[in-house]
Amino acid sequence: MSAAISCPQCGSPFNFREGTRNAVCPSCGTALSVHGEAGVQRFFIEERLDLPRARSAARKFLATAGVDPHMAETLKFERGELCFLPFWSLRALALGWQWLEREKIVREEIVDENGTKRVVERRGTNEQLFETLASPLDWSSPAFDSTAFGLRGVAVAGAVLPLKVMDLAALKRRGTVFDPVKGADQVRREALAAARDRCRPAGVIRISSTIQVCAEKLSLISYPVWRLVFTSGERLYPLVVDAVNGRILKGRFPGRTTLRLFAPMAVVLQLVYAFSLHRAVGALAVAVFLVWFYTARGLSPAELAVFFFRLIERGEDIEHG
Amino acid sequence: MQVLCPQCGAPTEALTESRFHCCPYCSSSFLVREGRGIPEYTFRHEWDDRHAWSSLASYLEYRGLTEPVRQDSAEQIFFPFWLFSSNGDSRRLVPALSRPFPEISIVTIPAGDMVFLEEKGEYPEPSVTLTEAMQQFPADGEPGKWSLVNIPLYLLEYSVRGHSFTAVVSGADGKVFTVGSPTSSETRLSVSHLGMMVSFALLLIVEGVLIRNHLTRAVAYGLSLAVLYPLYLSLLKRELNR
Repeated sequence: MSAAISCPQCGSPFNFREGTRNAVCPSCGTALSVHGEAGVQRFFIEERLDLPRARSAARKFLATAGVDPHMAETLKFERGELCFLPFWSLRALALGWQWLEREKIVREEIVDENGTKRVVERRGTNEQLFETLASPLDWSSPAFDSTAFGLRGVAVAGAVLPLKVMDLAALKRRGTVFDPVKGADQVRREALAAARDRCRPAGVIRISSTIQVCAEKLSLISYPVWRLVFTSGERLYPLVVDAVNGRILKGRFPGRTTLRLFAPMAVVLQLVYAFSLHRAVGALAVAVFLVWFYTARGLSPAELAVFFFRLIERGEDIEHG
Repeated sequence: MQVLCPQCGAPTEALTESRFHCCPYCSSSFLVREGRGIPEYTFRHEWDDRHAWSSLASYLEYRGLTEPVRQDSAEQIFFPFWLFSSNGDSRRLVPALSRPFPEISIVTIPAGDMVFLEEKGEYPEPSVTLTEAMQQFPADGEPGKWSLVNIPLYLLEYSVRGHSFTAVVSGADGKVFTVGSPTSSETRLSVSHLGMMVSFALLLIVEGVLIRNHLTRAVAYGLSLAVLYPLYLSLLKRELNR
């Protein structure tokens, strides 16, 4: 079965087979992602960082973020891949009405017989409101599983950066173009839920509303990121770098490790020496040590064991995204 | 038998109901079931076991596991799933093979570039038929279509403290799926570190018993520290680099 739509860019009608996911308008050459009843225009944001600059952004992160310097030295760059991640962008008007009942707090100033003022908060009668709503909606959400990439939305970027009409074949030569797996209906539902949340004031007891999305402009924006892979021995460390501004979006590296050997050895030496002088001196030294330890770390058998017997201290892992 | 290409609609001659049909016009790949063409996709991925083990190690470390993980086995497979999508929304994913990995049922569509099948890859034959998948998830009259997606997965078996576990790592984006995973244990102390400190203390005690002069003993203690400290330090550094 073939379906007819009109191109959102130039308006000329054209046919395509049902089930097609990517189509090109025969009149103006615009690449379209086809979903359901209407065509959706696809845009992309051009990358501003090439691979060497993405690598240097990654190196800067590794040097300054508290990653174990010993480990950072052994990290070797293995490969980098430019990925274009799809995001839905929905610009529309949320129109509708809502009726709500909410709590009202009344503040009263009371002056007692001594002349001191007090402010008393009292629950007043519930307030009932009926209002019509009309607010612009700018919603963006990832059209793919974003857990491995740490990027949540591109609403701001889409408003600031120049969008380019996507030529799928040309873009595929530059990098991996990720496929959207979330449909437009889902995005509309999300945007509507967000609009509803925003219109709801605090302290609402009951609410009834009807909000609809009107004058919507739906597009699919592909955002560029570099997926870099570093290796240390057999272990791979992926790192996702924003290809527009060089921000680190996601990465996980072991934290700084420190050797803590001198302090426990010095304490053991002092205690043994104090005991070899006299038992009373030894007992005093132990007491002094315990008091110091209590103030420094808190006294517990586990803490004591860690102080004496854990000589390699691993720092918290450095995590981003 | 004439089958219409599910992507572009061109009629294609199919001799048998089988897989790996390729449309001569739009080069899409599809399989033929009950006289219908069903599109078949996969995700591009270069197999590398290190990728899977690193993702798993990172996942377990994030959950606070500090013990070493023994890598028992890793299987690389383009695992077939029946995918029902409606209006571009991926709704349901039904495993089309049965394997003793409970994690497979919670696998989700990875982030990546969905492509048609390449000829060189090995794609196992689905053992669950499309009809069975449809029965498992009746569409309730929802418009949509089914396709077969071959997701590159690593099926991992590993053990921690002698207990064995399984995990599934998605090749395209490195996402880890586990049903049961080892929990972090109490803070553990290294035996070698314990040995170092105890031997140091014992040496000092023996010296304390043998040497009665306070000043000589202090010098002996200082010497012991001066010898053992660099020795222990180099041992610890070796342990760190291992």
